[in-house]
Amino acid sequence: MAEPLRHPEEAPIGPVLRPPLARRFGPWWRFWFGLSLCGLLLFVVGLLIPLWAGIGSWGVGIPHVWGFGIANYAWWIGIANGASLFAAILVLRQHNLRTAINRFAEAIAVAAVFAAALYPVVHLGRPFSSYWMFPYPATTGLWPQFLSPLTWDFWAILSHLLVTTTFWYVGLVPDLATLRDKAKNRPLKRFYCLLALGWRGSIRQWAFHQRAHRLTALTVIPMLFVMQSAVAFMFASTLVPDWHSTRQALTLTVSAFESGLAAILVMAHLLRRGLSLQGHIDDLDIDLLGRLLAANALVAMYLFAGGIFLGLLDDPVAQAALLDRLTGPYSSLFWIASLLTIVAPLPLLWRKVRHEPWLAVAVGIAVLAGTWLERVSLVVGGLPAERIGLLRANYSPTAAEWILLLGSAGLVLFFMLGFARLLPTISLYETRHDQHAGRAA
Amino acid sequence: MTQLFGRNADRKLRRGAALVVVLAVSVLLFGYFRVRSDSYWHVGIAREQPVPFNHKLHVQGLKMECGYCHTGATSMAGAGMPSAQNCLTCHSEIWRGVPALEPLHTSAELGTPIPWNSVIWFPDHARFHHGSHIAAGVACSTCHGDVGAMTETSAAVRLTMDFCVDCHEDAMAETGARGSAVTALPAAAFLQRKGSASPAAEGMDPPASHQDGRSLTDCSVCHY
Amino acid sequence: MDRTDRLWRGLSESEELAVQREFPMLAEAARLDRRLAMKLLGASAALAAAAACERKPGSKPSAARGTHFGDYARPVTYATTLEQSGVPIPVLVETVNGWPIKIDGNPAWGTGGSSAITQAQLLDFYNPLRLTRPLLRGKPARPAAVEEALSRLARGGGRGVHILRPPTSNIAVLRAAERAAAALPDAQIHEWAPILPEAPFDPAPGSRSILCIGADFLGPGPHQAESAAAWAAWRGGSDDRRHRQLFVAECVPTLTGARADRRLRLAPRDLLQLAHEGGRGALARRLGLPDVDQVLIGRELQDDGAGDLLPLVAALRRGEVETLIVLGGNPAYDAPADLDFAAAMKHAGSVIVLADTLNETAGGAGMLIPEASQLERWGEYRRGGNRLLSQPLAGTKVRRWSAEEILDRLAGTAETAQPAWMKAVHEQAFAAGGESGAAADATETGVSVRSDDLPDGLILVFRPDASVWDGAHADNPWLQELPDPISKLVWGNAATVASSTAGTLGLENGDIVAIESAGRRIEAPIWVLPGQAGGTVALPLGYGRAVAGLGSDIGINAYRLRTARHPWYAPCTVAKTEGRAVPISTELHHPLAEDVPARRMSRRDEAEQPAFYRQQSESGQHQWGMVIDLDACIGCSACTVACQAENNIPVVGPEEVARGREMHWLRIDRYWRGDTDDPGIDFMPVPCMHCETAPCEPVCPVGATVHSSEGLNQMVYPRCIGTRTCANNCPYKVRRFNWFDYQEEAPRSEQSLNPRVSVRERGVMEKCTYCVQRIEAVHAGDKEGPVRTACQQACPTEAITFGDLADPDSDVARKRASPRNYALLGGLNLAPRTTYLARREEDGDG
Repeated sequence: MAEPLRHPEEAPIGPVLRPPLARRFGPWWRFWFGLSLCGLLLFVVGLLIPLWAGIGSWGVGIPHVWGFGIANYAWWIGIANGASLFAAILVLRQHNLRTAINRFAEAIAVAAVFAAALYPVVHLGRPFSSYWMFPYPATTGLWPQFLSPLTWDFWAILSHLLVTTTFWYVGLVPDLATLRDKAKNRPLKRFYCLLALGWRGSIRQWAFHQRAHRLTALTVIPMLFVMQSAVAFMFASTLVPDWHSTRQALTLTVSAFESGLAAILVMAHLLRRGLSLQGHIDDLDIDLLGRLLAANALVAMYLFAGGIFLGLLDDPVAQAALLDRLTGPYSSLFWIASLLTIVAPLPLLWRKVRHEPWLAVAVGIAVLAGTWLERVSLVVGGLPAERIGLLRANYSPTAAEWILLLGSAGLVLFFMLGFARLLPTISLYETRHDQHAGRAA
Repeated sequence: MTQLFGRNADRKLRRGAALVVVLAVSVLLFGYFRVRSDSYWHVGIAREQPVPFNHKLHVQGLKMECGYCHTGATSMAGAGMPSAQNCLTCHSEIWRGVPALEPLHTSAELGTPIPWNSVIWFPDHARFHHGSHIAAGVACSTCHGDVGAMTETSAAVRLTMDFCVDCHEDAMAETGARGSAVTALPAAAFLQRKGSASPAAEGMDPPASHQDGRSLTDCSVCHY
Repeated sequence: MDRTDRLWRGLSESEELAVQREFPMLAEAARLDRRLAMKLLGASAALAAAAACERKPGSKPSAARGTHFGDYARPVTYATTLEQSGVPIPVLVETVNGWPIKIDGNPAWGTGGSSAITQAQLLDFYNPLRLTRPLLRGKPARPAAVEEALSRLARGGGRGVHILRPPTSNIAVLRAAERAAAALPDAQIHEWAPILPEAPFDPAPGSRSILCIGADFLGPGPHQAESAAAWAAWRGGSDDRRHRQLFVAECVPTLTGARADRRLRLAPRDLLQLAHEGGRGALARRLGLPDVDQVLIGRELQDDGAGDLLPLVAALRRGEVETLIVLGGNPAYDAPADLDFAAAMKHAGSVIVLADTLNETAGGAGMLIPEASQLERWGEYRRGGNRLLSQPLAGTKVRRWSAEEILDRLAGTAETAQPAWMKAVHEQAFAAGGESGAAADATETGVSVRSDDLPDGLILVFRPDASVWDGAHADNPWLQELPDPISKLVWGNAATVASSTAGTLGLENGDIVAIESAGRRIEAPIWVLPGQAGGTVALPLGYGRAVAGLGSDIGINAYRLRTARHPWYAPCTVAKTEGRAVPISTELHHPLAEDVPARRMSRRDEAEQPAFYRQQSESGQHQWGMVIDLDACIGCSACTVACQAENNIPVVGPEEVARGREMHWLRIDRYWRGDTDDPGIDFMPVPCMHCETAPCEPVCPVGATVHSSEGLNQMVYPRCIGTRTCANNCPYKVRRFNWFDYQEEAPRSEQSLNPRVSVRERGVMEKCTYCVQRIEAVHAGDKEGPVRTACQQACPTEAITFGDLADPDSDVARKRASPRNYALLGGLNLAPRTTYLARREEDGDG
């Protein structure tokens, strides 16, 4: 194995600080930002169409009552969960990978949560009454139905939003202080100053901060498992034969983790290139990320094989449901998804592939697409098609659903570009901590 | 380097944050109390009526019973409003020519209804049957208050769903799950304890009850 | 019969969405635009929902405002008579504030059941296109103008006057026609209808086996309810063990064939031959038919000519007709194509048409007189040896005329003669004894069979349609959206062929073919129908109308190929074209995860089967349940329309049905059984099962669907926020969702709605409620028990039994204890309150 290419004591923080403090960004950023604004517009339009015209403007019907609405929600939440879980584990274990990816991994998580959070509201038939899922003392004397997995999902999203943003923000505070100190532009300086909450960098504050950061990281972990399980239970608790599986939570969590990792990998490579952060997101980090993704793919492969094997040994109804999924009208979704989530990351086992940015990014995008297809295959392909005779498909997404999907991607893009423009994409204080630790050792 | 914020900035920020929290809580509390307030439910608020009908005069003064005008109450879903003919049985002679009673004559002549303004009403998604409540022993005043003492008619209770369900829950608790026979009045004892009158005292002749021991907190009792 | 026959629903793959598959985005974008446009034009329901937090005070009774629950008077039910194709049907009509809201059969005349068409006729009264004023040369005219014109004709002696009327049993019309004929000696009166109804099923006493040659008595028609009840009685009830056999020979699958103990699929030529032989000849022996007690011959096989239309058309073309008066019916649309009535009409000097809405015939009228609704007039009808009376249910301020009025005017009488019984009431005397009148109902004796000489090659078979009949009901949205009982096609028709024919011609579902017959050509989409005889192309009549309100331009007009000489079977050729238009069928909608949902049981098994069911003890005294006897269900779909009428169920239109979003709470699943080419048919009505451990209940996040103490699975509309997770968890797929604001987009007149049932808004789930409004009406003392659901009331064979399971003497409890009783998807252990009785089949027979 080659020498690690990291020289922590020599990596300056300048490159990380430069983007937020720069007066202007280049044409590429402006182009992509403009694109993301269009995406944002699409998002708004996509939200308004079902609110205005009715949820029938989506391609849903009986039996496919959920469609893209829930599939996309599950996908975004999966990405958010995976990225967040990864970042939290790194923080708790104080692994030096965290210095490189923690910040933007959590940023991805926050962006994805916001993209996901509106889906469960807008897919309702009467979204303006969605607040009834919240237990407040009403004059009707009615409370939500706590037996329902959708109520659990409601709480899961709320806590997800809260915990992810808190975790991210707590981690940001010292770096916001740095920006405050370094910024020249007065309004910007005030902006950072407010957000930094008066950080002075005293030992006491550092002690509190470290504890707080680890505490929030600690809350992230159970929250994420609960979140993915809640999503999985929405399916697993039903009578639908294909969904009614005890392995549902496990499958969804593993593929969520994989999609989060893939998103981090893609982002890592893009930031390396785009913001010249090779010093911070160095080859070792990229290497590790690649290997993690490949390892995750192996786990997914195990679950895939296990799922099929166990499904075929199951009772006739479940067996028939599995075969529907594998050979029915939506089977192509399932097989392509499996290909993209299991086979596509395997080249990452080779070092060359890991270090070739475009290949790695391609693999990352493939995995993201694969997990999306997997969610769609679950929501749509899992429902009974005609059992006897020939099979038919009766769900096809409408333009309104595509618009909302593209719009949600636009929202995430908007957020990430804004993040790259305004905030340090690498955790500065963690980098410096490691530098000091390295010198001290 | 010049200071970005003044000396008291911290204090101002904390106070501002506290203010936001206090505001949020107040808004929530305000909302909570508002939707349970009398004014929100129009309790005690009379409305302009086409004819300034005075219940006190007719009920306490002239000893007329609820059922004389509101004929549907004992048996039908809606208690009904008296037709112009009904009023004119007396008012064709009494107070003849008074402008306030003009709408009665117009209605009788043209066959058009009198546009009374409701002071207590159910939303469209809930249904109410007067007859089955009289059958159960619920007096008019339980929900309408002492209308006989009102010179201007107004609502007397906040007609929240809670208000109805309270009684429906307690009424069943009185008689137990497999309720009473057809002739018993399951809510009678409960209402008596609450101090409400009985329909008979108000001159209403209760019909037989057909609830047959079902739970009155089934949603389809009111929502279907 | 192999009881492990597989059941299947449809041959086809995803044809319905073939177009969508090719251009999904475009198809959806087009749909999106229209929906968006409709929303932008109208008020937004979403904002309206938000405004619900503001409490709007009501105003107390303005009697004109229809249907607030507390304000209406109790419903009043009237007995009256509706006439369909000249056959009087006794009905009970429920009215609220003078507005009819529900039509049902009159139990005094049978089981009280009705047919889908009878149920749907309610909407005819509320048709927004009903004519309100006479039209003179296209311009509104005063009623006096009509009276003047008729009086002028009355004085003329009748030269050049030709009157065309549909067949009727209305005594007033018949008498008035006689009087008019007497007063106008030179006038000629013709009678014509495109389809005469099948004779009612009337088994000879003691007949235990019946051979039915093309006589679809259980199929659509005015006698359907009557025949179905008679058939059910003949066949024996639940406990009856009489051995009855029904043999059916037909070329196109029908409802009668579905209930045959043995069905013979024959080509039309063989059918005719069998009919000629009277069912006992060489052909019968070759087919293995035993000697039967009674033979019924279908109307299509009988000689029934074009009636009086030929002389009329001849007179028109000779220019002899100065005044043509059409008293109802639609000959410009449904007359034989070779007569070209529409063109012939133009030869008349003047045309007076009596019609209730604008139709093809009315379009050619110089004077168009609005026709009074059947629910608005007095009448007296002849039915066999009996008299049926009809009375108006509502007064009307609009001046409309009835056929007898016009005939009376022509006869010169100023007042319409009173029906005899009214006269008798006034004079307090009734002259007993019959009178000579029109011929009695056609009997089976002396039936003359057609002598069609059908050449080899494809035969075009014309069929009346279960929804629109002969085209009269094309503007009825309930009937257009009602799936055809056999093919499950909605909003249109298709040319059906057997699989063998499709294979030979290389056709598949949705291919558009050109059908040529007798020099005329139309194009129609193909639909492969298992069980149809090879070498035939069947085309339902009544579609493709040009002027029919919302029924315009829907389906294919088969009348364009129908000639006077070959009204039922015509030689034709079929050529495939390049086009494709997939007909909309609901046959594959709402699939169940069960191999054999509709069960059959032989008598032997029945004796051996233990019967048990579990019932949770809820606290209520009554425990509601329902048993549906698959042995009695004929698939006529009267229950579906009755449920739609009772529960204010919206019509969603063809595009939404294609998406699987039809709203019928009660659907009839049709299963093919066995062989792909010539299968048996099973019908299975599926309402909500009201499971005791309902899977839809615990998954609702806001608790909008809960269980009642009487065993009902309640759907609470105001609480539903529309997550649709209950629909996911219902394995029977009985839940329906309001994807759009269907009630707003296709509004019904408020007076036609049942005030006891809430109208659901957009975004709310709904489903069968066991007619909870009727249960509540009995609880509240508004109605006398026992509770009968709408579907139970409508079923002509009493296949649906509803009642109190807690009462061991009730019908439903007894039926539930039957060995034939089973639960659908019983393996899921949901303990449904709706169970089924397996269909009986004879041991060893097919």
